[in-house]
Amino acid sequence: MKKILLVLLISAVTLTSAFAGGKQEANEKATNVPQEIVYIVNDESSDLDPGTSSETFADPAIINCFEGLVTTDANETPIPGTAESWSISDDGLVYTFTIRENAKWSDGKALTAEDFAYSWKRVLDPATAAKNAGMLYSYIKNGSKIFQGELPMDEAGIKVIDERTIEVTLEAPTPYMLQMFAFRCFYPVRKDIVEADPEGWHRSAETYISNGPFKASEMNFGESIVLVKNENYWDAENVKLEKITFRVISELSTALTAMESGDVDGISDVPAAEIPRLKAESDAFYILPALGTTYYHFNNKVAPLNDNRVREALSLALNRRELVDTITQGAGIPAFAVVPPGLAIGGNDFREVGTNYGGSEKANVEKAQKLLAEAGYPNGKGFPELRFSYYTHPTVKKLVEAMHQMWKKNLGIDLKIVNAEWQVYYADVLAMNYDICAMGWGGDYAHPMTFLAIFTSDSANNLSNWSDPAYDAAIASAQSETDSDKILEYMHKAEDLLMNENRILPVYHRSYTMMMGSQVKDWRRTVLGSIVLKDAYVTE
Amino acid sequence: MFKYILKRFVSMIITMFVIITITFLLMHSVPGGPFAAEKALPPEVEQALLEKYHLDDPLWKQYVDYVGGILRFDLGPSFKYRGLTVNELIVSGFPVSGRVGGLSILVILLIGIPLGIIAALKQNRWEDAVVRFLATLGITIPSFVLATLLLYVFSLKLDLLPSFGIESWKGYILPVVALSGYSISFVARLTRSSLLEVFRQDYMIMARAKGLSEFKILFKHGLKNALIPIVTVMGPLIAGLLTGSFVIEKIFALPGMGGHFVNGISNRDYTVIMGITVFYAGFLLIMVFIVDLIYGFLDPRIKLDNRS
Repeated sequence: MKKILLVLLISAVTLTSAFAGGKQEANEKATNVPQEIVYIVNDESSDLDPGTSSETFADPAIINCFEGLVTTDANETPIPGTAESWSISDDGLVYTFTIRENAKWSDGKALTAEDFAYSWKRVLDPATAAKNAGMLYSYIKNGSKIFQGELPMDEAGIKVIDERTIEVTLEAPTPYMLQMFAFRCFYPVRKDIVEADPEGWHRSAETYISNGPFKASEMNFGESIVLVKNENYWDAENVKLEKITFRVISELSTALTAMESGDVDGISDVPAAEIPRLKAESDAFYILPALGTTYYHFNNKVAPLNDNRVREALSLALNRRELVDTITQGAGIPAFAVVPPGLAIGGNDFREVGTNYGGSEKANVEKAQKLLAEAGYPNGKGFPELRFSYYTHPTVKKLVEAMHQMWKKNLGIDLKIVNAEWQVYYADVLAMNYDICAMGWGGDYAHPMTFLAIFTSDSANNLSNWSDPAYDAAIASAQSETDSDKILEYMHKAEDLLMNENRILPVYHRSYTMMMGSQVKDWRRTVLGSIVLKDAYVTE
Repeated sequence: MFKYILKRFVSMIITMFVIITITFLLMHSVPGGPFAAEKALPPEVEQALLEKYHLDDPLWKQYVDYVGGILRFDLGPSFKYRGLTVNELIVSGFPVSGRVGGLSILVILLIGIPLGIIAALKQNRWEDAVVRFLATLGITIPSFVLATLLLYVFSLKLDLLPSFGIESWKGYILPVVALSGYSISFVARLTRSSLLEVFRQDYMIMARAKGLSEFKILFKHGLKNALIPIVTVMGPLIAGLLTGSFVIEKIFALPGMGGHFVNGISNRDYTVIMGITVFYAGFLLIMVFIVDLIYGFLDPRIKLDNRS
């Protein structure tokens, strides 16, 4: 017995605060305006291959050139992409996708189930060195064992039924699996192209064969990637833009100058110092919610941070409102837990259902001082000079200095600030060679689990030097549950275990600050950061 | 002459070898590796990457392989930019840096030297004062301040010139001005002081006493001798300008070599750092060599061969 699932069922998982930009005025599209835009990105991508790439700068090209079986709408709700429909078995373990009849590659060749099977198996092969391989092998049946070389590739839960049908078997029923299918490492890549040049195929427009609304027409390393409309896309008649130029400008002030002098249509980021002015003056400026949280790690095994009273005192002594207003210039929301707002399960926003764990936007100095005194450090006396580490970044530096001042003023404790560039810093943090350190997380998919799964004991990204079997159990239960109420309950239980004892120190939930001229309509910046231009068009 | 060139060539090879060895060792002793990503990598992936780029080989083997590569003019793959070789990076970046740098050199020579001559001829008059004022200004304003200022005025306020890129000829104007500002001032000051020094020499008095025309005195006897210190600084300056300035390339969003080099360091992109260093060092050595040849032409007293 299988239940047919189209869009309806998945609307259980909606994202309430997603933003659809450039409010549409009906049929405003003027036919004589060139449908071309120039959008500024801030760095060259290190890898444009959807299967292997894990970094942010590849996103504009990948998200607009490729499409998974599943894609997402403006609310981050999964909707059919290259697949026209799918069904999920009652136990939630088997997904069967039917690929659209008119699904084609950008060079006109037919896109088949074999293409998907090849692409996924390629990511599962450790020799491919796909940085996001965990997004596949953690979920697909036998994935981990294949990745570790304990089982052959044939044992993977990926089965081609016929040319247009592919069946995926999972390790456990995963409530957010449809979101995962919309993620880049599930996108198809072309076997003959990849095999002809496994390393370099994604570096040239001729071989960057894709299946999404746009295709590459020029790739100028360090300078720009130019996309044009893909006439072979199944929904090409609804794609209006003819040409998109993603130009790299790493200096934010130059990008802003280019925007303000009218040389470009949009820029993906602005200098923080300009935010107040842009908020007041510009109708092209947007602060959009991001699925990201900036938090600090306590090394939970180092005294006195192994005492919850100390951790709580440090948390309460921060005036997060002031930090957000002065450091991010208002582009952020004070955070008291790891999961940001905007993630709805069964119609309920995860953050609204959850508590803020007794946090207040302004500091609760009195209680903080009392807790610190109880822990044996009245007025900060005798508090050891712990290391407060951060990585080189202008915003992080300001934030660390402000937090340091707040702790000094409110608690009378003086930490030793330690700075290193990311490459050195991250190695130190991985080796637990820190006391308090700057960190953060940007979600990979629109579900609370993208944040909560970080803190399990076997997660490589759990750098808090803390683990709890009860936490692991709650996460495992949520991952193997199919009932949305219960999933929500398990996830809240996990977050409670993390936050009741202040295992980490959340500071703020992130936002994107960007600009897009009002002549561009129907673009959207998803909470995951992607600039989606499939529906966009240009007016006078 | 041939013997001299051969000797210089051998010494250049040795110098290159020393540079390669030192850079290689320095680079591998810097903490942090090239694969530290935004998030933790699965150990299997990290291992696969190390194997792919032969970073799990012993250091001596990596060194031998690398030197072998250089001999075949193969600078290896970039570790950060997958699917891109360092050769491709240089081939794409050098023309950009080279065009902007080459124009800057022309501007520096065509403006800096005449300004210096005027200042020297009109020593302590108003012309001299103006040149000295401009030159001091040019030397004290850092190029990134000048670049930002130029962008603000000509791109944002007046909207005359593009704010980034060199897609059209107009795009060259601001980067070239910003890049050459310091060097024009430097060359003008150097020309002035060097000329004034030469004017005090006995052979200048001699030339005047012979009744030579002022033009001949200035150009044949004065300037030719005054050029020696300028030629000395031009060697490294040309190599530096042609291989790109990180600051200028970043501000004007030019995909040149200067940017690739500095990013390579923060990315720990070993092959990119090595490749560009080798390229730059080779370029610099050749420029210094050319400068030495020009010395001989400018001043017959400087002998290139052994004093035999």
